[in-house]
Amino acid sequence: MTKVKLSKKSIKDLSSLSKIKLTEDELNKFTTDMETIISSVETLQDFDKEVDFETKKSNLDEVSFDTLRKDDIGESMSQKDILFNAPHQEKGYFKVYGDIFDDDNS
Amino acid sequence: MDDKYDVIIGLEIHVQTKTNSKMFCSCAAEYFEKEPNTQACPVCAGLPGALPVPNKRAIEKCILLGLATKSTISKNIRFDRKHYFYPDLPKGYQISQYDNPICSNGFVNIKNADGEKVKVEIERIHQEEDVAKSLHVKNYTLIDCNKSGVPLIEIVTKPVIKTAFEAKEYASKIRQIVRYLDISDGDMEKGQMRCEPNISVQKKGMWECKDGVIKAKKDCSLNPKIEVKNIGSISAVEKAIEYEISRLKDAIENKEKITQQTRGWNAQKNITEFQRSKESAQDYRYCPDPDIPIIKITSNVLEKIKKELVELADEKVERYIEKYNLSEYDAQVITSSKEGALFFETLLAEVKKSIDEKKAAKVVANWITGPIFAYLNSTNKDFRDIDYIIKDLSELITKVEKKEFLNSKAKEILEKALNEEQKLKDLITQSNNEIISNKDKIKEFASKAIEDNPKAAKDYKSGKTNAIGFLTGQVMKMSKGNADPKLVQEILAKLLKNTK
Repeated sequence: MTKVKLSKKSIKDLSSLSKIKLTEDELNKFTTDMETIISSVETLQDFDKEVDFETKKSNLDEVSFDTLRKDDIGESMSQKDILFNAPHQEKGYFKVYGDIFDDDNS
Repeated sequence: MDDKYDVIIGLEIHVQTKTNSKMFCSCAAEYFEKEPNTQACPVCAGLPGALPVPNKRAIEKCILLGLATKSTISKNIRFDRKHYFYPDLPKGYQISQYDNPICSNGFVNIKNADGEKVKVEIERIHQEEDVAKSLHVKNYTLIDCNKSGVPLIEIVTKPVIKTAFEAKEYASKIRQIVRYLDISDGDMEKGQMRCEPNISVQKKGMWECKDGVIKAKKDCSLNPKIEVKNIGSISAVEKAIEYEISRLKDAIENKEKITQQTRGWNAQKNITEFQRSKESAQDYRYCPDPDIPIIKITSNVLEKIKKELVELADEKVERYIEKYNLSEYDAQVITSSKEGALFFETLLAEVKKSIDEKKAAKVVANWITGPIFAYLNSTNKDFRDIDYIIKDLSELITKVEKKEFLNSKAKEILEKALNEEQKLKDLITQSNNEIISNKDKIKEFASKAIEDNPKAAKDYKSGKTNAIGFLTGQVMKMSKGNADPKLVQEILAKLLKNTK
């Protein structure tokens, strides 16, 4: 297994995309951890050099347009059920804490 | 200052498709004023193992928009995952389309501020899903998944728009098209349509546009672009862009550093405010969604969808000008909504039964752009609310044209009928009687006017034909405005001729 080297900057970028704040110690720890993770995934490269990943990209099943779902309304879950596993909730809403809400991303 | 800079604008428009169910599950799509999280399922909430199944109708409507904008339609529809971390997106990615949108290379025509035709090229139209609704409260956020998964169409122009006015016109055009084709209601206040302009200000001669991409010329550098969000109306599209252009020009003049960022439009203060620095496409880590197969679009499928294309406003305007001799202004005002055009065409079909078609078209157009629009604007109603009146209105218009009815009186009773004081048909019958009996009365009034004003009568006979105007005025007064001034003049002239 070839060891991949990652820069601390990559991990910093990743943490900011994930909106997770890391201390200097955590940054060092995660940099090593991520290097191990990426290195183990790298093993796949040795597995089959013949696989053309660009072609694979579109190697999904194909369906005809007419087999798609008809636009009919089905049943939804009840409010109680959908919120069942939510650690925090309020007035029927999921409740989320944190300071990552800069705007609507849609 | 304007001579030194070029303004480059691209517009991203999101439109919620009007469907019964959501994009990838069968939960109801209409979420307005519904209890939170009552129209959600494992797919909407992004629970592990949930399987998205595309909505056929939503894709049909996306293709329909592509056909209406003369786009190329992809033969293989594929969906991709766009990853980002945000609580309004519980599964950690949005199902969207990356390098293979359903529609590409389309265009719409608009008019610029000088009235010249401008082609706005559309780079892509793709299908995706809306995200959940987030309500920010103090230090936490409440999430409602009813909106999560509603079909959303994204329409992206090439960076070819040059002014805030053109951007506004383009946005109205897109809204008009989606409304004509019943793809969406396009109500911006309800979030059914959202406009996000990308704006940059470049020094003249420093840049070029290659394949829809703005590039710096050799040894030049580009100023970064700014994306503006939170625009809540078509008029705010223009205002927000105008504000941003002037802000950017000032920044360049003052040699301030401009960074690529997303700003939000503040409609109260009429300014844009910093929101966040923008993530790049690479940060979204797009990848094909392995849960959704490739959907084959055959020519048969396309032919079937093509049948849903209706005559759009631009085509109607051309036809109205060509066939009916309407002015461009009238044609545009009438076709601005599908309902307006339908009202015009239905009313015209009735009126032209008794009046020559071209004349009927002009007359009907005048009634619509005049009293009808005045009524709709003052009451905030639309044509669908008043289509019951078409049959009687055509009778009224025909009577006015045949000089059986006074124009002023007709407008008066139409207003009464629209305000639902009385039925138009009844009002016509009542007023009609009045006018007919007036015909005899006019003679009476005219004789009296001549008798009471011998000087005017004498003046007329001696060649001062203006004097008839005064006498007409006297008769109109006596008839309390119920007489046709033309008829009054005719009768007066006849009587004066016969008096010594």
